Amino acid sequence: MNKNVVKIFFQDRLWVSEYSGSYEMLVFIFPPLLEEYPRSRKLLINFQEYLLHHGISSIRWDYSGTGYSSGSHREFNFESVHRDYIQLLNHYRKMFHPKKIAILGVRFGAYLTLSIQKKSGEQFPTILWSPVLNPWNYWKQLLREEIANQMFIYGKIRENKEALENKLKNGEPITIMGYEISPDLYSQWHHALPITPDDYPSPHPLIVINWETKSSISQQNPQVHFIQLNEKILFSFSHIRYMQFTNQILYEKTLEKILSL
Amino acid sequence: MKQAIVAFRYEDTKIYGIHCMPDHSSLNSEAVLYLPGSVLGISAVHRLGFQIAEDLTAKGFQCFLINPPFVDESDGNPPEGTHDAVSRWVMDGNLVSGYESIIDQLFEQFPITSLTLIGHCAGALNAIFVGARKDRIRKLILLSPPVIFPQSKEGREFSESTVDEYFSKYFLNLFSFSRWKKFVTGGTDYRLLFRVLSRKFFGKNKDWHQQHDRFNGNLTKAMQEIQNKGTPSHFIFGDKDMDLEPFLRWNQMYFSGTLQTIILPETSHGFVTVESMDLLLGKIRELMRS
Repeated sequence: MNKNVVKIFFQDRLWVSEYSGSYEMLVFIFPPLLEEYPRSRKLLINFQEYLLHHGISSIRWDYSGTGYSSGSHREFNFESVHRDYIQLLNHYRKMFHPKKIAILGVRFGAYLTLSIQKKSGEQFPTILWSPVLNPWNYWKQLLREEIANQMFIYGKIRENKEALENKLKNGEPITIMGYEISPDLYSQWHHALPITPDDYPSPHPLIVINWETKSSISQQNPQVHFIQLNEKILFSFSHIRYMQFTNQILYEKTLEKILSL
Repeated sequence: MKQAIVAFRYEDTKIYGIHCMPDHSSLNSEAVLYLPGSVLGISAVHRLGFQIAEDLTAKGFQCFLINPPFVDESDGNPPEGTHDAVSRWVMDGNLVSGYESIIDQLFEQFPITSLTLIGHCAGALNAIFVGARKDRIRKLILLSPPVIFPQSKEGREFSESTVDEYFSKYFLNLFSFSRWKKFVTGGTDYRLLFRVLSRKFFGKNKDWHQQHDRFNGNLTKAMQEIQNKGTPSHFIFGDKDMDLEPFLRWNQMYFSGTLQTIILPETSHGFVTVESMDLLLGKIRELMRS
């Protein structure tokens, strides 16, 4: 088992899990943020194993300042993700000459990959799992979760949304469920625009796989394909009642789409 | 802090972790092994292990953040199931032999003379189990260990922490239009909602818990062995941690209150605020020096 699995620190700082199969197809995985990542890491590892079993190579990396990569969380920002992605992409292109490249974006990783593809001008066939496409709504949701956590821990709200945001505006970092958010990241979040169909003028298909909520991307765009899974998928990041580390239906649907790209 | 990947063998699987080293100073031959909670691996709980390692490496210590077998980047899978059932699996000591093997390999492969174990939540339980069995463990620093079992073995009945976690999610949903829509259009799991609310507001009281909480007997035995060996052990809890009250009862009942316990003010189970992290890191530094 795992004969083709290599885990490295790219440039001595970025954790990369490399599963190498044939390199006919290389899938780049953009993971989620904050506590959603540790709670879905095994699901992604098992998906990489599944792809490898079908001869498909994949790369999953931890953004700088997140997961196993070096740096503290206050160093994480959208620009460093962009920079690191370009370096990784160039590295794996040069190293393995993959015939095709596809992207899998999970939760906020979906937003990151679409915004980077838009900025860089180089677009790839992309699959999104339960994507976050409106960063500001996601930020507001994180703030609500922080408030709910305060209620749960302290039995009262110690700092409300306004107080937290004022701190950031005044140049002080805050924590969201223990993760340090820098004023710089907040500013990027504040100015990040939601993804609309016009942001995806790529010749490649964009496949959105959802299981709980419907995507906010317009279904008018012919390049965008939706798959709504009716089966209850019990991810540990969205369900505290059950911890699930693998999901056959999700894997099969995603593989089917990857093979059709 | 410099980081390098470390990999070990356990039976026919590979275990992965991170070796954290000071940037400039020479390596201290005393090392720290961080044991993460539950089965979510070393980056869970706002990268608590990495934050501890960053602080300790600045003081010259080397730290190992290692996933046990089956967990996170290590090969294999832990069992799936309800949160409480998975917790129960960990509390039963299913990760202990993996950790024993990790410790053997650490001493074989690295020039270290002694090892301090720092565990969080279920990782602290593993540290106690392992500390009772292994030699050359210099010290145990135990963060928020749960000492009672979830109410049922299958995790069918919620533990207090699960009820509270659900309750906070429901509180969050009060602000969500889509959740309200789901609620009025029949999309909500009403039975679950009823169970959570009834347990939260009409649930078991303190007396019930005092009579029915089942302390983890293997843990008690392991802690007694550690006391007999004389390995220094320090428990750190937040005053807002719901695992604190059962711990204090356990300490009183089985150890006559002799377990050294530090209680941090305005601090939760996960040390989620900047202030509580500062307090925690300060205490760990102090304990590492002593």
